[in-house]
Amino acid sequence: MRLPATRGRWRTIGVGIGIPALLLAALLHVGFRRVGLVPPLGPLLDPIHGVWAVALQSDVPAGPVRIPGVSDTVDVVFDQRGVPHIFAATVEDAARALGYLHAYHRLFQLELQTRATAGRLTEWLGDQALGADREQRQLGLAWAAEAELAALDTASEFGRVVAAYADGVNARVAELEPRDIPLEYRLLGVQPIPWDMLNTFLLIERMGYTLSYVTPEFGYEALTERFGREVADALVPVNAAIQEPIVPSRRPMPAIDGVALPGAAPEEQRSRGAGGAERAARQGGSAADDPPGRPPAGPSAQSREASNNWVVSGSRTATGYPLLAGDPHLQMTLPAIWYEAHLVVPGRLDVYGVTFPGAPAVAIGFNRDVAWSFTNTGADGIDFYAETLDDPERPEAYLLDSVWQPLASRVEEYRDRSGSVIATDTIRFTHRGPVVRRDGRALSMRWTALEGQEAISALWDIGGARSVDEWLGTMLRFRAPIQNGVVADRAGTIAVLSAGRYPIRPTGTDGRTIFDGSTSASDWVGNLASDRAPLSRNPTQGYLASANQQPLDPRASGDYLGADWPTPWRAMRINQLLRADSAVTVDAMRRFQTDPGSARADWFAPAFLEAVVRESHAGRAAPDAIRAADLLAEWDRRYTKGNERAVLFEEAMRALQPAVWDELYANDDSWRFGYPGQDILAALLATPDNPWWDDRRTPDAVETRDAVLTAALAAGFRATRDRYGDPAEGGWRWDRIRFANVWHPLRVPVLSALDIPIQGGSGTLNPSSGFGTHGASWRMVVSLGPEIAAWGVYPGGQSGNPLSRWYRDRIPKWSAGELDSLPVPASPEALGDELVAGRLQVVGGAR
Amino acid sequence: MRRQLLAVVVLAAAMALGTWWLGWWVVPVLGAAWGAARYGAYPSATAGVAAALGWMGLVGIAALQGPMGGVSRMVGGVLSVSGWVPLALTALFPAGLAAASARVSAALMPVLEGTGGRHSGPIETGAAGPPGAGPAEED
Repeated sequence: MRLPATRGRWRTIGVGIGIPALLLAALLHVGFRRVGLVPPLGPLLDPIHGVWAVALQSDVPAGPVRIPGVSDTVDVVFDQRGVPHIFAATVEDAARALGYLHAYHRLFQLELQTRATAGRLTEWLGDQALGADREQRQLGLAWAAEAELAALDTASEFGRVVAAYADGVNARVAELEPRDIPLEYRLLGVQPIPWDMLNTFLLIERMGYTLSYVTPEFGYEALTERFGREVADALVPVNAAIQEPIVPSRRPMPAIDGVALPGAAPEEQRSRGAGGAERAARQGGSAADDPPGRPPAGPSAQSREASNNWVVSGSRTATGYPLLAGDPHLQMTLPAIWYEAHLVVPGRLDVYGVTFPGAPAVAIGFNRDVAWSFTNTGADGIDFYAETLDDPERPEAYLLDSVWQPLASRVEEYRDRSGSVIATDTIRFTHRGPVVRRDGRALSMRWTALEGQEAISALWDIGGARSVDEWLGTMLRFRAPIQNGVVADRAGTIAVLSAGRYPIRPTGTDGRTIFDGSTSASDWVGNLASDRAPLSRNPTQGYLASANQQPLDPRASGDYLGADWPTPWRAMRINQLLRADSAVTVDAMRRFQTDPGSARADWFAPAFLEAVVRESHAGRAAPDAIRAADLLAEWDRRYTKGNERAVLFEEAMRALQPAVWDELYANDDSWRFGYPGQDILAALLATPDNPWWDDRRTPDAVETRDAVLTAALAAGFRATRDRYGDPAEGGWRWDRIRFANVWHPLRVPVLSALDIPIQGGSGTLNPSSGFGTHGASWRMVVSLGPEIAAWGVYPGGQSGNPLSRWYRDRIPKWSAGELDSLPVPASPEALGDELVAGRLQVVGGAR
Repeated sequence: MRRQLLAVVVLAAAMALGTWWLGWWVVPVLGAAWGAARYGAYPSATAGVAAALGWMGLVGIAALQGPMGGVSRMVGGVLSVSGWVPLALTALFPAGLAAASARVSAALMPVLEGTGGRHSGPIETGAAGPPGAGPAEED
């Protein structure tokens, strides 16, 4: 009888324990361990230390904050927009406070962007980030950042400022309680780590990568092999076909220089370069061994980073004082790439503007005397060299002038979350830079961004400039990424300088080719002298504007600065607006920033309409084309939110490009080069019988310009109707079609701001890409009167906490094209109480 | 009954305070302790209820100071679930932890004590009884 009783007891215990024990084990597992994308639930759901604590994080730090090294109390006043006005006794103290506030509001962003640049995302994400990390490390960005840090004079003011900034960030990291951890760390299940001075330089390397890693070489080479050099020269031109340069020219602008696009039969040339075509197809089939980071396709697609800036002298403003506007267009993110701040150090610094979280300087802004803004120049600061290695697999030397030179090497280890090494690479370097592999070749890369950018130190120093001349003198030190800076001062001077280091190639060459690495004769022979850099100061026209266009009229300068320049649609438009207004106001400057007019539409829309008329007279226009032309004729060529015809034009343009550039497709239509610049297409309109108009996909017909334009318009109409319904149904409104999308880096919709209606389209001053991910990352207007006055906005907010009132508070104004007034108090008490959102004192000493 | 309710409240407070001071893992520890003490007829159920109450109480207090609904919607969005799911999970997760650990410890105690299962009450069968008595023995 005892045996059954014992069995029953154990069965009872088994049932009683087994299921609960399994449940307990499962709950403990998900409590402690990450399961798929779901972070450990224990620390996540903990109501005190977990994600709920995010709701309790204050927008303004509770003071006083202690930061080691602070020499005197720093007063920080937050205005209603969340902008800190930092009043410090020394520049180091100001940098400490700024570092602390960057970390307070943007800690995850600080760490994410430096990890991304350093190729250390695997330490958060494991294998899934390995590809991205490898790309970054192969570019040599971390290597360059380390070199720049090693070269930093730590005794200089800038050196002290970088160190003080790191102190500030680390003061915040050190004081973090579990409840203070930003949301994203909780979602990823990781912890913040201390800040290193190196991170500031990594950040700048990343900007260099974003703005200057442009490689037309590979497209140019493939086009040369497939069509011959003449065609390649025309499709990847050194000079834009339409000129509207930054530095005013003596010629009337815009100048149509056209393009010498040979009318050779592409089929013939393709057979001549069959090997190249096959190779091009191979290249398109796999980008596994491409140089990292960017697609290799031919003539580069127009850059999505489409910034504008302009400055008007007092002679053309309503007040008689200079006005300056700037809107750098970059990838928009939440939190924004910018953080607004005002730094005041009596007698030394009083600068307001946008800073990069991670760097202790105002990049774009103004002080009491000078205002400035930047656009990207897009100059060519990168070249590739085909190297001869001693061993393709495990090279130790490369051939240079018939002598084997040792390769430098750097072992890169990729670690996972636990610190275990998950992969190892050896990056090799010639005297030119890192070696990458492409298409079986070893290419070394020389890139100005890897050779000491001097960017942040120059930005730090221009914050204290008292005049345009001081500002220009400082910016001559700036090396990379090359930037078009417009600047004005209260004395009435205006100027533009395309600042940076322009390498000089060997005579007879330019940066579009891949050089022979086996000879030192291929190396850069120097840098363009600073007095040859694009510069204009107080031009007679009374205004200056840059919008990424070719800086100098090629008729005025033969210096090679770059190739494949963006079509100057935006430059044409802003210059048109500025030419037409001899009494520019602040409000006009603001309106120009989201002006819906389009030089591109002014160019192509009449071409469509005229083509349909001619084809119609010849009896060749289809009913769809005639209907489309009637609708397009109603368009005012403006991309306002309520516009109902812009979409038709965009669809027609979308149909036009592949019809014209069909020759650039591979034989099986599986791959194409990037489309050439639209200036080339625009110039092609002048040659109606050019064989490039012929669509090779219709072997029985030879199309001319008018036939292609008419067919594209009809196709665009059909596409628009199919997608958005009949035009009378209201589905063609621009604000139902084109949006801005400001994504959180984790690509989580609830943390992002999506489907924001905007005014503007391709080629307008407020351009919108199809994905809406790029746009005006900051808009600013500054009036340089007796007292400086400024207005600005960016798409986001000061805080990185998604629950903060300052996370996305500015987006409505940004979407509407409005600007906030930017208060610039001279003292902590000068900001009216109604404008103060909080106050903070930063003091020295350990916590 | 009143003593049972009081016990739940006290345990809920202990869960909340323990979480506050030490962290979320206090929940299964207290649950196990509660189960081992075999207080009441349904120690695992009371432990689960107390844990849920404790955590929801903390969330409730925090809601007086910050937008907890916003957090729930945000985390729900991140996890691609409805906005109320994180809130529900914040109740269910500690409840499950506490109940399971209470039940396991209650079931193990007789074995550890070598009492032959005399105090098998915590292995709930649905029978009610005075505190500590538990349901009838099975063997």
